[in-house]
Amino acid sequence: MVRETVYDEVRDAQRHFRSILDSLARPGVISGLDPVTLMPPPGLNAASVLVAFALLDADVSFHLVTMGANEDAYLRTNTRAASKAVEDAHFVFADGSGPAGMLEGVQCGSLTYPDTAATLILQVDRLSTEPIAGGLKLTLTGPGVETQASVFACHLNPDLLLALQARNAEFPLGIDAIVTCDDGGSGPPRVLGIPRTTTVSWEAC
Amino acid sequence: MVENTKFKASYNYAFIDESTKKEVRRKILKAVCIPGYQVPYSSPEMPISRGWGTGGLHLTLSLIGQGDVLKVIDQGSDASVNACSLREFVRKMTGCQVTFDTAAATLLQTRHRVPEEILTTKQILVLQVPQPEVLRGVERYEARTRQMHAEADYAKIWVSLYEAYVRYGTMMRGSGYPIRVNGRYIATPSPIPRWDVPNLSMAHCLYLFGAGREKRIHCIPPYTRVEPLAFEDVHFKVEEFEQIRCAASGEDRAFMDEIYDAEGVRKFVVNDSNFLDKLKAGSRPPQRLFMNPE
Amino acid sequence: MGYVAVKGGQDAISNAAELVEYYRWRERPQPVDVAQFRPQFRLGIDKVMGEGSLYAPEHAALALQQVEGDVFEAAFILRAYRATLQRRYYSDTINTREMFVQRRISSAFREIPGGQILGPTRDYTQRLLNPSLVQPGLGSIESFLGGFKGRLNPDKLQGVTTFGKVIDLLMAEGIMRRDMYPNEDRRVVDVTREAIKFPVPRSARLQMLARAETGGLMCLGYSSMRGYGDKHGTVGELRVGDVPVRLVDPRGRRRYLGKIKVTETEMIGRVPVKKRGAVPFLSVGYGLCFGQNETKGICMGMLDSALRIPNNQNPANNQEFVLYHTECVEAYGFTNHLKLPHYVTFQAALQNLRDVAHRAETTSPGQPAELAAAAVTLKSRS
Repeated sequence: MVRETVYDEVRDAQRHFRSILDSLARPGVISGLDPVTLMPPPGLNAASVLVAFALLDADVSFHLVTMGANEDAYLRTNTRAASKAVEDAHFVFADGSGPAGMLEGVQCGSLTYPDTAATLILQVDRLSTEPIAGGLKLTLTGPGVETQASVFACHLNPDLLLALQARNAEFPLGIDAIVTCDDGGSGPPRVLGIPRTTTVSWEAC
Repeated sequence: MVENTKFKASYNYAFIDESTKKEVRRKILKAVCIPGYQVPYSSPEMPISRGWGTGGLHLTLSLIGQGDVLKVIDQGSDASVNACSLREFVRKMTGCQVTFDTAAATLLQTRHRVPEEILTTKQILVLQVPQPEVLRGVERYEARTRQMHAEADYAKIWVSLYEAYVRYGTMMRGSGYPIRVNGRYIATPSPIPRWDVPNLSMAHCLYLFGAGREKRIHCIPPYTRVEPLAFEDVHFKVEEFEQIRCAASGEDRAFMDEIYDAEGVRKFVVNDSNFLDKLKAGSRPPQRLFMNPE
Repeated sequence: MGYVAVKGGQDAISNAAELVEYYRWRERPQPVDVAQFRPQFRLGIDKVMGEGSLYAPEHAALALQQVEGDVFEAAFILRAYRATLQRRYYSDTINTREMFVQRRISSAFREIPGGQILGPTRDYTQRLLNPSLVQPGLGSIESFLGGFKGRLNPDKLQGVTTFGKVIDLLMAEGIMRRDMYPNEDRRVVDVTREAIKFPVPRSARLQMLARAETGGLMCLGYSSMRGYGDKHGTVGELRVGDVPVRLVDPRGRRRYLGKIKVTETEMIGRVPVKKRGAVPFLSVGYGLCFGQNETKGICMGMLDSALRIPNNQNPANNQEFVLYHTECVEAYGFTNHLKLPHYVTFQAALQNLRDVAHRAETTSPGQPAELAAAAVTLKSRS
């Protein structure tokens, strides 16, 4: 378990934040995060780690659904965020291939303070604007999308998308998602934003 | 005993400390995900007075990076004294490039106007907001307005528009005309003139609104429907500068400033200073013009 | 002098700043050293520290001098400076029972254990302008200090005494109790780290009152006493003195940091009863602020009590009214922001108004004469 020293808290955090902002403001546009040489444990991809480093600190909490103790310690040590139960977490990290039930307990805010909803960091194996054999085609519409946008993802459980849709049915309550990918470590870290306002439809490739 | 070391100041990049920037950034993201909703944030004190742009500064300083080119305007002008003061502050704290040219800027901070020139997908407009609560004029208590937004109970503001129409024949909102964002939240566009409101809907750029004193951030994402409140039979209209031409450029399709010269003669001049510069140089930047319905 | 029409905004600002300095120095006065200023402007500095929300007497003194005595500006500077400081620790809650008391009085009882100690106060002096202060000279100060020391009795200085609280007596009797507000929100929040959400917990109310502008609190406290409020209470105890500040370091050791001077007020009032036949109890309205600022302490205590009985009919019992409008930096900034150019919003309003006037002239006869005349004038000028 490594305590990273190369990450620039001022410059890297700012650049990556701008990419994350762009991804949530323009769902369907896959944004790249400038790579930083880090050594996270295997359960977290490079993009998830960079999102965590940009947004998490001692004032917020996180919950790991499908990862283990190493990943937990890594995030706690490097961001100082507290590891909590899913109901108390501001940021929830999960693999996109996980079961739909894992969204249970994730906070979706209140009517007076919908901003207190959690942000879901969803890891997938591949993410592209080109079709992927055996993957899922997502079609996105809503704020931030001029007409409609199509993206392709691998190892994303469609039942999870259904569950997310159900949680987001009563706007302003909802969960905002950031889909992260680094092609299993061989590709550049990338993010795709799916705010609660986005309508997602999907079909197999 | 006052010694030099006690007062030595070296400031963090962009002045604000990193943990405050992170908090502002998290709140910006939530604002983007809930268009038109006012997100509360910590809004720490700045060396600039409350009511003079601290909210806009919190946003700009949390967004800005080394590649950014900054433009700051107040009442449409880059040379306005407060715009100069804010621009100088940001430049000193970041070493960023600054510009008067709307097209060259990546990050634009403004008070009370949206630039005439169409903004692109590469640009973010940060608007300074004195009163983020659009319902404050009809309900003084924050606890109640928050509840009204939660329940989408906007009856009071509709009634106030109706009453104004009945009494005056118009809705009587010169600036800060209430808008409905993405069909849900009613919000203030900040005190921009009606002329600028149509620019907010289905725009290429990102709009972020910062109210430092009231401690709220809200957002209109790109390509989002924004409708000024109107009745079926009483439509929204922008200002008409009928038979008015700009004394400096001859232009008639832009928001105008009314000025009085030394002899007390009234003239009109295009308000957006960079737009006016470009008109005088002979190149008309692209604009979105709204046609008032009959 | 069109400061917008001309592109000289930056020059105008620099010249304005230079002019301020010119007016300060043109009579070539002797510059005042912070070491001179700080002890002689103690109460102004205490006010600035309280409103600046930073216990730093030398910084407050410097700020006050920098802005030629404008206490709003000085508090503002201190707040802005505070916002840049890193927070390393949270201290233990200070214990005012440990206070090294300089002044301690109670209006509730004639005699109290330990006695009424007037301490340093001008309360019972006559407010007569004293011209002899213009040229004091160090000679007279030395003889004053020497004479003062000469009158101290060294035997009576043995041991440092701390004093119990007057409210302890009332608690012992049972007429005052803890937990009189069992449903009160007791969370500890920091209003400088998150925006307040109404209704606010008591910790937030007290924090905001401690940082509030003294004049604003005075206005509201006074209104509460004059019929715009339900009650004002009695000064159970007011004390001014130094309290130790301690914290626990990262290795778990308790450390002593130093002392700060505070004013603490406990206003005693009656808890209103809801049910007939219920026995009324006494409650404490609490005030605490930096330095010696008794007006603030007393008004804080009154408002703490008042805010526990929400009633939007009275400004002092109206939580949002009190807390929003006594926030000195926000109020100062926003009122003064009216000096910023507002010509776009004004132009938008004029356009609107002209539209209405035009409509009135063309659609309906029998107008008020002035309105019709104004509409005609506007048309002919454009």
